Amino acid sequence: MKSTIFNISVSLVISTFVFSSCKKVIDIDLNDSNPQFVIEANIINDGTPCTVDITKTINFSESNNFPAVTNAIVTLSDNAGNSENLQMTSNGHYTSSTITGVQGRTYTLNVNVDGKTFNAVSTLPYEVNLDSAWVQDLLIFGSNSYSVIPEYKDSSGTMNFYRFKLFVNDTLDKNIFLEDDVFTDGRTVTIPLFGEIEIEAGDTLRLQMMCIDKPAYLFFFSLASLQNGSTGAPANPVSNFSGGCLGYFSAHTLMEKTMVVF
Amino acid sequence: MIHSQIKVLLLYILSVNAVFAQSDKFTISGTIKDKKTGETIIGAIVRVNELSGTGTTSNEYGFYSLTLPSGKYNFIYSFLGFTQQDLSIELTQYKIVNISLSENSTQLTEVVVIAERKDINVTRTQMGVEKLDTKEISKIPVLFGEKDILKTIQLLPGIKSAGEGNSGFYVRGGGADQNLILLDEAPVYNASHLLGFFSTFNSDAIKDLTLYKGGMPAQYGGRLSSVLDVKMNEGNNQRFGVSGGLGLISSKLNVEGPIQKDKSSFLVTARRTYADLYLIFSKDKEMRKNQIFFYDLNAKVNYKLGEKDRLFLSGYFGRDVLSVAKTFGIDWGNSTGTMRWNHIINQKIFLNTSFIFSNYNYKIAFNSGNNDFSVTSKIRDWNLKQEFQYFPNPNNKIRFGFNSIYHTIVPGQITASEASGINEIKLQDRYAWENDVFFSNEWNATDKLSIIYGVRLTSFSALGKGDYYSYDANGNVIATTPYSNNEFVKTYVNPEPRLSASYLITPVSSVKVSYGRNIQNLHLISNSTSTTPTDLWVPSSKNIKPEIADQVALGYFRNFKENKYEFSTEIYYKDMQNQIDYRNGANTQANDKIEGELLFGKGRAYGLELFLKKKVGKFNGWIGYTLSRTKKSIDGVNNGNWYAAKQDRTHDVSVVGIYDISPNWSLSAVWVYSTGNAITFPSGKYSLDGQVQFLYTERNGYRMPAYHRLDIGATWYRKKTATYESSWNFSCYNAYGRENAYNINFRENKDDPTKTEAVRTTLFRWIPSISYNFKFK
Repeated sequence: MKSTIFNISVSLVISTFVFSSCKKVIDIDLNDSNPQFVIEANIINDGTPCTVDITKTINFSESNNFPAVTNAIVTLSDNAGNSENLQMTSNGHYTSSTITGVQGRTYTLNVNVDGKTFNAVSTLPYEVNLDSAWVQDLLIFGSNSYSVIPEYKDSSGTMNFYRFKLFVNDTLDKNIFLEDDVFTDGRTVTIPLFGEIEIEAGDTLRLQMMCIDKPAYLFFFSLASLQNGSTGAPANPVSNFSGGCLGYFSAHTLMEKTMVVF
Repeated sequence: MIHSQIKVLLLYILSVNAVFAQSDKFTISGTIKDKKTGETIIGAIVRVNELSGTGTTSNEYGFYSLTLPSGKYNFIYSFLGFTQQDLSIELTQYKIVNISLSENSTQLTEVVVIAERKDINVTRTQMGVEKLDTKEISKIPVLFGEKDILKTIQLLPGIKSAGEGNSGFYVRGGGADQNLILLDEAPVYNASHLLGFFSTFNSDAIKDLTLYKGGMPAQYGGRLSSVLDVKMNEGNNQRFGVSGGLGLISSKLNVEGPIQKDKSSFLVTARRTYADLYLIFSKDKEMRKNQIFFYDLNAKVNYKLGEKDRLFLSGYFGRDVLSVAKTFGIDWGNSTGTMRWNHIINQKIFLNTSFIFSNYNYKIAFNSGNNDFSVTSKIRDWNLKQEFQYFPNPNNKIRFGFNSIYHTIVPGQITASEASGINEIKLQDRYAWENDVFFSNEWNATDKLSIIYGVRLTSFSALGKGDYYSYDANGNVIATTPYSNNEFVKTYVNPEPRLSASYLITPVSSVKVSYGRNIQNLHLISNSTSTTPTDLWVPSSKNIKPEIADQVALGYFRNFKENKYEFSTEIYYKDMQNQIDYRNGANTQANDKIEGELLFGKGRAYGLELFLKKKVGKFNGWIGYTLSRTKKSIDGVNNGNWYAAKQDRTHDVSVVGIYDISPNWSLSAVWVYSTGNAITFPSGKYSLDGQVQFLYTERNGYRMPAYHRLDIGATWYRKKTATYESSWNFSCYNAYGRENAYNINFRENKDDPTKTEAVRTTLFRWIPSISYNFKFK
């Protein structure tokens, strides 16, 4: 909630002047950088396996072919005494076969590659139900006519963090939607989500809601501040991995609603 | 404790006074005013014809005092643009002589200016000081034709713009929040309207403006890098007048006049923009439900209680309003109030007591579905200031006094209806009490050497009530300490020595040195690309230490061709401690534990400033150049290595030219050039969350493209009549349409998602404007 309010206020003020601006693609000579490991790991409480994708960074001028890392040893364990080595099922894509996501459980992921070790811990939060979702017509300086409103009842007395993903006709909206419950603890929440894709009548929308833990929230919060350009000093998002790699490990819930815009 | 110190000082001064009084010396004192308007004149010159080099200037309230051996003297009173007045006086007793100077009837630029004032830049002891004439400002072209003192000062060396069309500024490597901006002594916490495109200062209401870049006089304190002291007009106490202006973006009206002739006067100046009125013409029906405008109001009343007492009341109120379709709105603004009492204790001691109020707040309101709530935040000051000015003899001018300020900060409060999906929440209010004492003396040691020395002692206490937190190295709370009402949490006491000296090498050249320490105890948390209305001020506390800056500067001043040309150069070095930065992904909004999001380090800035000005003649103007570096080193940023601060711009040039073709037409042009800001760009990319993300390897390792721009303007003065005068002002901002980068973003190529590209946003090209100014007399 908190971030939504302030982001809207700041972008409103900015947009009032930027509407008269002009944009142009320009050439900039950017430095090369040493390749770094990028780990994207998720475990969900829906019976699906834990997935871990490991890639490397490339230079800005290169085409978007991100090299997969195929020689990693990936170990997952939980606080219920389970442990397993993940198998690579496709290039750079590792999956678990026995461990699945359970609410309240804490998972530890260990990645060994090229003599380096990266560790992350994530706790799968208790699920908050996505009660319903609908589309609202609202206009902000002509740039967006529709917003999507999820409705859920925040669980009172605990810190909750939420992440939403919006698919418009199966295309993922690039905005990172996050909420915390600093302002909304225990309340029925109906905060609108403003996407990047302009929604039109007839579109099919799919909204996913995830209850995530605090480290994952911090990761996505810092990633979002890079994307909306609000930070004065961009830096790599705050990873919950130790050992100096990019990316995150998130144990989370997942609920989904589909709707058609009239 | 403060009172006892004041007493000691008073006793000391009175005893010195007694010593002087015994000798055969007498004092002449009084107030210098503009004959036509009754406005007091700041910085008017008083010379003694028989004693070369002896003289004084009127203070910020027009008061002067000069103590001389008894005798017969010719006193010469003068001020730029005014006819000088000579007075022969037999000084055999204490004398009060009030002077009214008449404005020169010819145009300012054609006046052969009075000798003494012309070489002020060489002879003035203070260095690092910039003054702007409000008449000069009116001819210089600006964005949307909206005259703006905060933008015009950015054309002077050492002062840099915070961004395209922005009224924010950086002084000698300091941040935009390190400038103390005073309006009639009241601090203005957010001096900008609409994201900085306009300043809160309506130039029609401004009488005088002084900016100190270093070696500030001891009566000023509270910010690290500069003091901008703005004084409002007092209002004509001779006759009633109405003036105003109509522009593309705003209109303004100024009404002033006597309440009781010669004794009291009032002034009211109002301004409103009408950007939102354009929305009415929008094709989009919904667009018309939006609101965007600002307004401000300046008002002042002054009353002469007798020969020795004057009372001033002045106030400012400004507001920005932005709302969308009645579902979302934000409004913000400052209000300030100053009650001031000038009292002439005796001919040598001038007393000023001020009671000052300042408030900045914002309110965000949501009204959509069951999300019906508002967020408010504010900072408020109550300030008592007492200042004595003592003129024992022509060679010493002593100032001392104290300042006591109570700060209240409401970081955020949420009000919501019962049915709302939002809880009512209040972040903890923060309180602080600041007490400062200061002393300074402007001492003419010899005919050639003059020194201003002084010290300011700053005491700043964070006060309860509230919980204060201790943090570990990662910014996590490790302990919470509750404090009760007005309980002292932490007190910082810091002395701030200040020194300025000037040595006259020849009558037209001088060298000057200065040193000054400045302390800042209120810090602006602003972790975004530009300042926004929701930026938060936080006081020094257990975790946030006072910011400290030490600056040394050396300057050479030289005038040519009978003072027609002024040249000056200054070099400076500034060392800054306890500078503030933010953790990666810091959450700085509505966060009770905001101190855990901060990182601390140091900064340094150094540079060379060159300034050449032609002051008189049909063609006048100036060239300013600054060569400078500003670096920071913060624990936790860039591995603690030094990196260029955002405002680090190696070269900065401004050229200003004004050409008065005829009494009816005046042309002007401004050209600015600066190295691009230091900025962080990606040095690589990776895939995550189904998207391309960018990899950053170092802070501010890149540069924005160089910035340059030409603005041109013309002013057409219509025929004056006895009761009416008017002028048209035409201007074009960015006349050759340079596509300056406002920002540069990186994204996936829309046509070829395997490629990434850089996109530059340009804000203003060829912005023409026209305005009409009028005056009924």
